[in-house]
Parts: sequence; structure tokens; C-alpha cells
Amino acid sequence: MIEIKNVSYCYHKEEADGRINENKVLNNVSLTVHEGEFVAILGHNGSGKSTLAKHMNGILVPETGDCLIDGLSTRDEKKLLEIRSNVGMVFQNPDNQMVAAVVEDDVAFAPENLGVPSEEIRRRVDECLKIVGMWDYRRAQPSRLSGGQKQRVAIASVLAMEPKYIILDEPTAMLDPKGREEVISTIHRLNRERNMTVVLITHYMEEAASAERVAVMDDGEIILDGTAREVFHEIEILKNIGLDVPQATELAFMLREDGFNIPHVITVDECVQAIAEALEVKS
Amino acid sequence: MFKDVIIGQYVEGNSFIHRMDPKMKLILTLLYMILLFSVKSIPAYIIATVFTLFIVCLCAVPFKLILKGLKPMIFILLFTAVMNLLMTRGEPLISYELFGRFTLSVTKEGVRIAVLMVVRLLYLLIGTSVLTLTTTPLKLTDGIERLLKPLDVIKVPSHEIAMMMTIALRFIPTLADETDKIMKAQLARGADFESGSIFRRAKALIPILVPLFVSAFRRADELATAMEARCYHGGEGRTKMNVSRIGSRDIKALVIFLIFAAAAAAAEIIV
Amino acid sequence: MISVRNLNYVYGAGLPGSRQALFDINLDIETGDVVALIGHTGSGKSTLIQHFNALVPPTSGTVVIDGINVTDKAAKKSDIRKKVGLVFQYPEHQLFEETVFDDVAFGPKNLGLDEAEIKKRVFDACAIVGIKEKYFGFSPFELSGGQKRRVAIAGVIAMEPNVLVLDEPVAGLDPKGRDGILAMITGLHEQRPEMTIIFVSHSMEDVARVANHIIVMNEGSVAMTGTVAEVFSKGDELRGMGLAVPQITQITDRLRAMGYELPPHIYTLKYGERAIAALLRGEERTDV
Repeated sequence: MIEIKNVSYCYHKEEADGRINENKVLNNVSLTVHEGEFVAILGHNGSGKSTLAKHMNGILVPETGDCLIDGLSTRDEKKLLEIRSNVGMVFQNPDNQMVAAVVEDDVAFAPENLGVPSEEIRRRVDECLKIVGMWDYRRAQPSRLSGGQKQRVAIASVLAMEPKYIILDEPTAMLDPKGREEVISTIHRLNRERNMTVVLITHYMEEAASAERVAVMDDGEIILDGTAREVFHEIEILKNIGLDVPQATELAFMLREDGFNIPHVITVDECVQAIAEALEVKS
Repeated sequence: MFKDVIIGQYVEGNSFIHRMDPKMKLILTLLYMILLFSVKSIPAYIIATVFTLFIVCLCAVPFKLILKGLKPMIFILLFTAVMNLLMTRGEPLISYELFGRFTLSVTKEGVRIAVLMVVRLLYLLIGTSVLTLTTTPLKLTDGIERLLKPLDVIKVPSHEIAMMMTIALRFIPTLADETDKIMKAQLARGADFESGSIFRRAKALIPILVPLFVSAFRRADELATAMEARCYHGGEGRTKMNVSRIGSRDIKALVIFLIFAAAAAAAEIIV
Repeated sequence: MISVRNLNYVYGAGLPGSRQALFDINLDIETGDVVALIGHTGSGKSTLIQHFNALVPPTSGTVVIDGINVTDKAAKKSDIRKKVGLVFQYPEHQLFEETVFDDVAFGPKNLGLDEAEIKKRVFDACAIVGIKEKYFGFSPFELSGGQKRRVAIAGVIAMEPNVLVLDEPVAGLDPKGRDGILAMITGLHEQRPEMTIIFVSHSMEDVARVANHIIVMNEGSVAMTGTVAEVFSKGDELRGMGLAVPQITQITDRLRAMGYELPPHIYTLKYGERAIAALLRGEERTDV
């Protein structure tokens, strides 16, 4: 269980005149992620979502409040390695998180840091590359891979620590639609088949829509938290803070506003069915 | 621009040399360099030539590839040849008066030293190319780390040096790509890198260098965070996926080298 | 007017491991048009647009822009780059000057314009992209991600090209940032109707909002060209190339397939909603 309790965090920036400017990015945030959950954190740039993610494995330590991973506080420096090996983290830019010039060596990096015996590292590297479907590329140089492939390697690289939780900080922001699809389907498979707890930070509503739970952040606070269906129901709040909703949802909303009896929907299928039903009733 | 640089251009293979322990390969490369700079007589050179050809054949890398790697070094080789030709005193073969004051002369000794020097450098480059072409960058840095390990006692940061080399090798292609991209972008904004005085051309590089540095710092920052997130905490308590040990193959290689070295030494003494 | 004739491009031509990136491209783009170039990564979009301003020499074929053959080796590169402005992907990564003003002025300076003209162009370009004067003295590195991108785009607009090409101008931006850039493109088209705008995009929703015409690239060839309506009416073919039509088009297509009378060519939400609302009210089909 990841427990974030009343966490606040400021970035301090020194201005030209020597003043210290405090920029509050997290304001009394509380969030609990249970084992096996797939949680999407949705928000626009600067909403604090990445800062929140970096608290979950102790890269950042809360100014006030606490962040507990299976009961261990990220403030406890002695437990930091244990926490980080349990909470894997994938970042936005696939190029800037690969250490080694060969795919399999990069996947081996984390278990090497943890002092895992050689034969066990070999076993983990092979297994993790197979899980993300990159085993055929184990001898390849990262620079020869597509964006989606690089991100899958990055996922394998954190899986090699055998973590319980995996946090992905906008893993698809720099990818094309095909790469995005590869990455999103890979993490869904991890969640489904291996019961991996997933926290996906994103600003793409399609990706959030596929999560079982969505938390929406704005201005350093969590303003909505619920199932994707519940969250996308708050279409006006989302639009106000500059986020999208699926076109199907918005269409149903607009028709409702025009006085038609169309229920809240989140997929194309549901939308077509709802409109067809309304048309049936009429005739 | 970087495509001819052979460092890091590992060629997949399964030859005797490919399978050697990187530590032994590094030691032998070092010994080979020492040998090349100690031989002076023609017969000893012939023995060094035979040994060089021997390792080139043994490494099973196309000779064309090795030659391609030598291409960027041609200037250094020519420079060495010309300097030795002109700067060695001795019995002049050709002389040329310069401004009526200096005499430039090519001497018999000059020719001899120039030829030997170029051959020596050429063999050196071939030898190191064989090393980098048959050893993955990671194995190479790993080998360097292990060889430097004993120096930890005198505070040589062997792990950090190796880690720096690994990261540098990883980011060379990325930064080369990036340079190309920035250059094209500035060209599209009308930048001109090709005309004007040297000073103007150097100034024209600012629009490339500033973004490149900014990006390198950003990458460094993000990479550091990513490494930390993957539990990197220095070399302490680290293990390796591939552990190579010096085996009978490596001992065999060492013995073969020592035989050649002894033969070269004998040739020196006799001549 | 841009015309591309029989354009082929091979990476590393003549070397082992060469790869053909463009196959016999033929295209005509009218002056003042807003054209979206779509296709997945590796379809040849970026290679094609680099031909437009002579950054890449073609293996064979020609690109003629307003009467100048830009693929002719003798053509003056500076003339071509004055005509065609190219905004690369993540253009904020090429900012380098000390102030926003100087960075936007870099292109115009390279054109050899006088001080007054440079100043005028910087002001105009910044107004178009929505960078206020108070930021002119700022270091570009102090700005937010979205602002940096605007400054970088202004740097190319300030060269006042006849053709503006943007390679994935909204990549990596959040919805707010994306909407801002798309609105900027629409605004630019209104203010400079004679400027031809070509932009690369992966998002059909974005394309539907901004473009008049679409060019679809697939595996180095032009797979389709036409108006937005024409291209979006071929939903199945697009899906076959790994591209999808907007959700609203999917919804109305499926309703039409179920026998409901809806007008063709629905690809914006507003239009779609009006058509469906009319249907629900039981009105006669009106091609709104």
C-alpha cells in the first residue's frame, strides 16, 4: 500500500534580486494506492502530478506530511533502497533513463545495484525482456529502437528489481500513437496478469479512461478521485482546468444540455447505443 | 560525422579473441604497445609485423573494417611522417634553402625513422582497433574497472571511472543525433556555418553549442534521477550480470605473445 | 504553390545498408492552403518536409516552390530558406540567445534586414504566437514549456516565409498547450491568408480542427490526398494504416450504418452534435 498523507511540497527558486521564491507544487495531498490497483493521475503540466510521483519512491521527500510505502516512511534514509526496489519508476524521456549501450545490460543495471547474484540477474533480465516483448532485441543498441520499444525496455529495467508497484511518469508523452499503444497495453497486461500495482501519470484522457481509478490533480491538489466513469462525469470541472474528455462523453453531455435524454457514457460503443436507443424511443 | 570513429563499434563474433577475458585483452594491448615502442631493428619489426598480422587474422573481423577505422587517423600519420622526415639530422638526401637562412633537408636517417614511426603507429592503431572491435564497450569498461580495482587503495575511483565511460559510450550516438538535429534547425533559420573568417565561423557555432549544452545538462539531470530510482548508490555492494574470469584461453594468449616478444628481444640483441 | 514531382530519397545511397525513405512522391499544394501531413513514425513525413527547404538533397525528382526549384543544387540556399520556414519537432530545444527578443530576431538578422525591420518583425511574430512584450527581455530558458515553443515558432514566423512547415507542433504538450498552438495556427492563417501552412500531426481530432486538406503518408509513399472530408470518409483504409478517424466520425458512421439519416462528412464535435440533435428532434435531414 502506498499512503500519501497530507503531503505538501515547495520548489524554492532564487530570484535575480536574491529573494527566495516559494512555489508550492503540492498542497496537503492525500492519496492511498492499494495493492493490485491501476490508478491514473490526470492533470495538465504544472499541476503537481510529476512531483507527487517522485514522492512515491523517495526521490523527493515531503516538506510536511508523510509518504509511506508498505508502512516504511520515505524519510527513513536507511530504508530508501528497500523502498526504491519495491517501487519501480519509468520516466517520460526514454533516452534519458538508459544507462548502458546494450539493451540487456541496461535491464541488468538495477539488480546489479542491488547486489543480486549473477545467475539470478541473468534469469531476471531474460524474464523481464520476455514480459515486455523485447527479448529479440536484447543485444540491440538503444539508439536503434523506436520510442515505444525504448519505453518497453525501460519498463523491463524496473521490473528487474521485482517491484510490487510501478509508477509511470508520463511514459507516452513523447511517443507516437503506435508507441503509446505498445506501452499502455504492456502496463495493462502487467496489472492484469501479474497483479502489478500501477500508477500512471498522464495528461491523455484516453489513457486515464482505461484505468480502474482516476485521480485528477490541479494546482497541487487532488480535485477528483473515483472510477473513470465517475470522473469523466464531471465534464465541466475537467474542461475548466484545461483537460479533455473523450469525444463520446462530450457528445452525450452536449445532447443532454440540449434537453435530450442521453445518459453519461465514456466509450464510442456506449455512445452509439445510447443515441440509437433514444432514436428508437422517439419513433 | 561520427560514423568513421571506430571506438565503440563492436563487431559481433565468436573468435578466439572475442572470447578472451577483457582484462587480459587490455593487459596484452598495453604490453603490445610497449613492445612496439621498444623495437628498433628491422628484424624485430618483421616479428612485430608477423604478430600484428596474426592477431588480425585471428580476430575474424573483416580487414576492410579495420582499415575504415584508420581513415580518420591518416592526418596524424602523415604529420608524423613529415615531421620525422624534416626534423631528423644526418646525411642529407635532398636539401632546400628557405628564405636563404634555413636549410630544410631530408636525411637518410629521417627516411628510416619516418617509415619506422609510421609503421609503429599503424600497428598501434590496428592493435587497439582489434581490441575495441572484438570487445563490447561494457566489457571493456568492466575490464578497466577490474584492472584499476587494486588502485582503490590509493583512492583511484575505479568504479566511477568505469561508470563514466559506460555513460559516455551510451550517449555518444544520442548527442550526435541531437547535434545533427540542432544544426538543421538553425540552418532552417538562416544560420551560416560555412562562410566567413575562422572567428566568424567559431561564433556561428554558438547557436549549436548553447542548445547542445542545455540539452546535455537536462539529460544528465534526468539520467541521474533515473539511476537513483533504480537503486544506484555507487560501486559498493554491486554485482555484475556477466562475470568473466581469466581462463586457459587467456593464459595461452599471454604465452603466445611472450614468445613473440622474446623473439623480438632476441632479434634486437643479435642485431 | 508547391509542386513535388517524382521525388525519391534513399538514405545512405550507394552504401551498404541504404534504405529508401521516399518513393515517387507527387504532390501539389496551393498557395494559402492549410495542409495536414499525417502518417505514423517512419512513414517519411519528416524526410519529405526537409526537402521543402533544401536540408536534404533528393536522390531524384524535384520540388518547385513558387517557381524556384529548391532541389536544384545551384539554387541559393538563403533564398529558399527565406521562402520556406521550417519549425522542427520540439523547437524549444534550439533556443540559445540571452533574451526572447534576440532569439526571435536571429532568423531575420540572418536574412540581412535592417534594425527597424527586424524589430517590426519580432513584434509582429510575437503578437501572432501570443508572447507579450513584457517577456522580450526574459531569458528564453526562464519560460514555461508552452511559452518556449511559442518563442521558437515566432523565430521562424519572423522570417516571414511564404510557406510555413511545422513538424508535430503539439508533440508533448498537454491539452491546454495543444489548444493554444492549434488556435495560433488558425489565427495565423486568418492574419496571413497568403501564407501556406503545412503541419505534421498524429491526431485526427487536431487535423479536423485546423486543416483544409490532408496528405496521408504510408511507408514512404503518398497514400491519400484530398479535403478533410474526402480523407475522413475512408475510415477503413486509414485504420488499415494504423490511423484512426475522430471519435465523432466513428459514432456518426456507425449510426448511419444502422440506417439513421445523417449528413456525410461529420468530423467536428459541434457539427456532429447539431446533426444528431436534429435527428433526435425528428427534423428533416438538414445539411447544416
